[in-house]
Amino acid sequence: MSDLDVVSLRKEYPTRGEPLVVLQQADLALNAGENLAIIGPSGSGKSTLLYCLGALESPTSGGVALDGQNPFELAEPQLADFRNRKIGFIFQDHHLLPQLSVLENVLVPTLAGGAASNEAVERAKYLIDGVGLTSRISHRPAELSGGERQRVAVARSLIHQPRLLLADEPTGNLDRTNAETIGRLLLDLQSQENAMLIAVTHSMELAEMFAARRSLDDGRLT
Amino acid sequence: MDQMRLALRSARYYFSINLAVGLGVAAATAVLTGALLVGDSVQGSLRDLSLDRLGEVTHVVLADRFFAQHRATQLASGAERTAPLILLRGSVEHAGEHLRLAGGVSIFGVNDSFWRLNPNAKPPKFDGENSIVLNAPLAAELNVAVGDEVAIRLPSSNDVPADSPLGKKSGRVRGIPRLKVAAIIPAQGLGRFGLFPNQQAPLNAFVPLQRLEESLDLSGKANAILLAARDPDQTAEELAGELTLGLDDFGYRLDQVRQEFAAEGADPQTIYDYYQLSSSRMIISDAAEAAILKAAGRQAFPTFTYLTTSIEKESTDNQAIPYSTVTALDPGALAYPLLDTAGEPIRMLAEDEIILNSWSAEQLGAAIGDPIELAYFEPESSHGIAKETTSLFTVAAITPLTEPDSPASRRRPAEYDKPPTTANDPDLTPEVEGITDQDSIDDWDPPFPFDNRRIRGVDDAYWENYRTTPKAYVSLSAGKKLWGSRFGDATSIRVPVTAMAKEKLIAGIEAELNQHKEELGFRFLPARQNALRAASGTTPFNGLFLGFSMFIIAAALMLTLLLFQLGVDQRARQIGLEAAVGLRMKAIRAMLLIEATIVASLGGLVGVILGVGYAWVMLYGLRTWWVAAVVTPFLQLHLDNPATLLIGLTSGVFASLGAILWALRRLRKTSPRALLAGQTAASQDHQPGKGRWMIYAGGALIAASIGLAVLATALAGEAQAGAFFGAGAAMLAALMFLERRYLQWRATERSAGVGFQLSQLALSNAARNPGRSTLTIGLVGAASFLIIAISSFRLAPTESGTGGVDLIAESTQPIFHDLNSPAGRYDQGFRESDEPLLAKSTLLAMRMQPGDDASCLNLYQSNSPRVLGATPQMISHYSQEGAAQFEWAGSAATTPEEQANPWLVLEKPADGENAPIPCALDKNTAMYALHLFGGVGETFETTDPDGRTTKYQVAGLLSNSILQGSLIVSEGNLLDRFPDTSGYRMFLIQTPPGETEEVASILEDRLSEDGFDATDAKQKLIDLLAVQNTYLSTFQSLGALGLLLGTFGLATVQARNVIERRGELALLQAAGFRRDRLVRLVLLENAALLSAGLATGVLAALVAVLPHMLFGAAGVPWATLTVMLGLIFVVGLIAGRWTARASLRTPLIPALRGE
Repeated sequence: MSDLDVVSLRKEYPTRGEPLVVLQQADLALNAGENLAIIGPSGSGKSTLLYCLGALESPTSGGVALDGQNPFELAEPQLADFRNRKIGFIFQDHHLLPQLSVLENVLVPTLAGGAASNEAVERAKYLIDGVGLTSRISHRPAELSGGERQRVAVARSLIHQPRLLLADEPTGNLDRTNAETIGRLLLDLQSQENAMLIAVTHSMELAEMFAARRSLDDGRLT
Repeated sequence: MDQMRLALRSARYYFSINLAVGLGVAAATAVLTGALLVGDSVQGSLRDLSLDRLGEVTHVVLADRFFAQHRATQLASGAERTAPLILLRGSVEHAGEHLRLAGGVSIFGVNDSFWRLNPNAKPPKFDGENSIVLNAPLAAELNVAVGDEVAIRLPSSNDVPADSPLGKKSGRVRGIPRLKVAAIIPAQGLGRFGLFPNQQAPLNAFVPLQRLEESLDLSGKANAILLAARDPDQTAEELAGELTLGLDDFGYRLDQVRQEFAAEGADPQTIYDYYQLSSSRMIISDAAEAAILKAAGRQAFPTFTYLTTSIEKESTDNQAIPYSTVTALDPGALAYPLLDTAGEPIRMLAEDEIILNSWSAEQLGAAIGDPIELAYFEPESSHGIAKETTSLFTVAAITPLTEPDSPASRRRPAEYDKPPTTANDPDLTPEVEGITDQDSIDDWDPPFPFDNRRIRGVDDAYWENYRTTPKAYVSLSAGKKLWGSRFGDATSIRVPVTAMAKEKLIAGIEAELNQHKEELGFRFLPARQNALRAASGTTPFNGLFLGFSMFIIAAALMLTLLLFQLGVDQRARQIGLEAAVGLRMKAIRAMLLIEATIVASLGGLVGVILGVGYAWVMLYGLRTWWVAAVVTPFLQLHLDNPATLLIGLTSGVFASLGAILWALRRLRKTSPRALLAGQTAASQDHQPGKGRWMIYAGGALIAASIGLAVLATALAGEAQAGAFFGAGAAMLAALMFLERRYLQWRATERSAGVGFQLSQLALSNAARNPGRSTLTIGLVGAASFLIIAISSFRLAPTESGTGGVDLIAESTQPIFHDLNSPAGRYDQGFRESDEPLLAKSTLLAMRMQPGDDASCLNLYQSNSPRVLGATPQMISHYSQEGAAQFEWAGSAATTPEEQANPWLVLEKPADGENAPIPCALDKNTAMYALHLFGGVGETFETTDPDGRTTKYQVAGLLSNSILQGSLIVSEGNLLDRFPDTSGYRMFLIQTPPGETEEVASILEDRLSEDGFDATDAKQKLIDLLAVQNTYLSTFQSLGALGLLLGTFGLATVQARNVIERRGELALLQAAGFRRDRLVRLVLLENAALLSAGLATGVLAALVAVLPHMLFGAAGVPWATLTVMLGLIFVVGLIAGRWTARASLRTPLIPALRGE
């Protein structure tokens, strides 16, 4: 049994006709410290797979177990806690809160459970340092470049030392140089944190930086 | 495709947001239009009421005396109609299971001509002579139905003024029993006929004219004429010119008084032969005297006969002559002079000299040069107390008196066997009912203190022989000085018969009197014109409603601005694209403006319709829930002025377009790139250091607000209201500037670390769009300002409002006796058993000159308010140590005594023709009814319905008192200006603790004939204060409307924020935020804005109200307000929670993908 087990994951959406099958019998397993890039064209079901893994969407059938825990068996409050503590997300759009500073943005996930503790602030600073933005710690997102914003998003995803990092086209909005920097950063921090990392992308350059790659085509993971 | 088409398509495409903007415009227009319509409707309703109660009556002739009914025909020419009537104020009682009495009833003696003045209504039918028609309010007050019997009580037509010692104080009321109620007519049309404008229905009773004539012994007489003139604008002077009255109409008569003596076989010798003009009122007024003397020629002369209680030779033991008449005349003016004992005419008489007739000289043993003391009553009595005084004279001559051979009787003159003298002239004494008409002194029924034990046999013999022949003569100037009064100083005017033919004399006098009809008690009232003028209203409703509505209109405009900004934000990318493809920003703004104009115009039209509905609701409220503000439910919606709708529409639309232009202004600063990225100028607010000017602007506005608030306490009326609202608006604006600046700072320059929590995140969210958040705060702030400010001006009755009295009473008929003294109460007919309670009570009487009710209970414009005369007793009552005082908002008091008792300032006599009369009045009456804003010292004029003016000077202002609605002057000044006022009709009564009801019951019972009606003073004050308090409730409903707009704005902003931040919220959800925590996040932001709005409103209201609180004119009801604001907060949160949950119900995850 792996730290992450995905078994026969299937996701379909109801339509007026036949249900639209987005994922078909996806299986995968991953252990701490491992990373995986899933590549595929647009509409292949990459994001759906990622959101199912991140317990943001429930599958039609099949199961996901992270550290032996099936999140879809949890009630909404526990499911939220599960995501908060065990999963870190990075999206193509950074979704930073424009009114908050870099430090505050990194601390945002800690607000799910209350106020930011001293330890949380220290860790946020550590992560910001890790992504090379110490000098910009009190800057607002509007004062950062696209790459810098995404680095803040990476730091934010790691604030709770998640077991599983999920990245959805993390470099989709970046130029090649920035994309490479972010890719490297992601992998370094994943390794450093001994987390699992799954990134979905259609960028071969990013995928090649990952230890393992699988492709998703027409809902089938190969 | 052109720009217009694009604008139209956009308007349709962005239907939802445009609908919201349109509704914002509609709200502003509705409030504006509604406020204007309420004002129009109040004035229109008052006008309708005025015209309705007058029927077709345009003018009224009203006299204080009775004249021939047929005079009315002089005023009718062609199609004009007139109706003579008897109009008296009396009381009506119904002896049902319990005796019910209605005082202050207008009793009309009418014939068919009266009902023809309102051809639209079916005239009620009398059921024979002994029937009566009541209007519905009177029937309700008496609880009578058709067929019941009632009795009416009227003032009798006793012409001698009751305030003179010879005037009767009691028995001045005549009752007509057992009148069957033939019909009860609604208080509409002539059923509510009245001369004093008031929206409250009067109590009217109609009796057949003939029945009233018979009861009052006034056959063929009337005291009023109603006229439906062809020219309703005919002036009082023109009308007066059309009416020619005869001597009898003025209450005068011309008799020939002649004394002849024919010795046996000789030709008759004329002793004297005069035409004598006398008055049914005994005393001829100064105005009439002057007119008559002018007409009667140089040989005419006045005489003034007065009653002395004793004639006594000083320093002798001789008995005084009791109860005699003494005539004042100018001996030199007599055509038939008084002769001395030597037969020589007496031509000169100094002011301190007296002529005795030979009988008096003999009785007194007096000779020329002897001192003679006359004792007599002062010519005016107060509280029915005849005060005796004396004057010393020296005998200048003795005029012989011839004893008649056969004494005179009531119907037959004396007969002489020796030549009588010019002193044998009983006609010098005017007729006095109960005295001169009695055969013997024993039969006298005098109204003055009379001790018949003083009457000696010789006095009876004199009465038998000479009857009313004066026993002495003083100079005319002395008589006028000693006995002259406000009623006049002549009892007859004589003209030698030889001077002029009688017909010519009468014609001359009548012509002259007709020139002075107004001064002689005839009032020519352009009733319709007066009514329409009064209907212009006391309270400037448009102004009041607009003043209070301004905050709501501002709130609605803020909402419009906010919604439009949201619309612009929503289509930022579209605007960016249009700019990117080459459209000039000016053209883009023009297109948006076209679109906005379409939306605003449609919104405005909807607003006008809503405004009509809003006005209808307000008027419905004023007829039902808030009827206390207008006292009676008479207000109807008036849409007869299309200009009002147009003004409401254009003002609402243009104000909204102004707000929209303000919103569009931001686009000028926004680059196409930013727009393409979905950013508007709002995003550019996040520039550190920018906006420092807001701090300065806020500071300046705070200073202006405090200045205006302080200034408001020194101003009055509209200026005060303007300063008050200005202070509130400035503080609101100041706080909004500062809040915006804070939010901007928070968004750009503040950063959290340890302790960073959800509430801070929420506050940061609020700071993301400072403009939007500030507008939301302003919306809530404006509404809460209105609610708090209005609540602070609510009034509660105080002891100082009642002046420490327990009852305030008014009588229909004047009361002449002193109810404060046991003797006065005895004379008035109180019982022994009443004494224990009444002896412990204090009754402060006031005289009353009737006029308009200028209190806030009357919405009509008061031109001639009621005047009360404060007696010296009342004024001195408030000088007593420990006496509860009225609260004075200001007075002209200068001395310590005056400062302790400001009533004393009224006692300054108004000397001189144009000297203003010092008066006290309630501050509210001064400001709202009479529009006097100058405070103490201001002079003003009142105009009687017939155009006569009286000048007053404000000497004292009472605060929220039971004396609202009247001018209070000193008794002396009142009698100088209104000499016809008699008796006392207003009473302030202090009762023993816990005995108020019992005292009221005794007084009302014993004085029922006089229509005495006592009201609990505190209740009266509550009723008066209820008007202001109810107005405040009305305006508070505007606050509620504002809150509705605020809540709507808040919810809209909240929903928009959620939509805009869906990606972020989705991320938070992905990061493990539970849904309820997301709701809480949104709700915290909502609560922050709501709290800031409430705090802003509270602070602005406190600044505006604080100076008024310090001056005691306002008080914040903290407990009520805390509850109210708490309630608003909770309701706002509930609405916010509902919006948040609804907004967050849509799946957020797609937002993570940028969908």
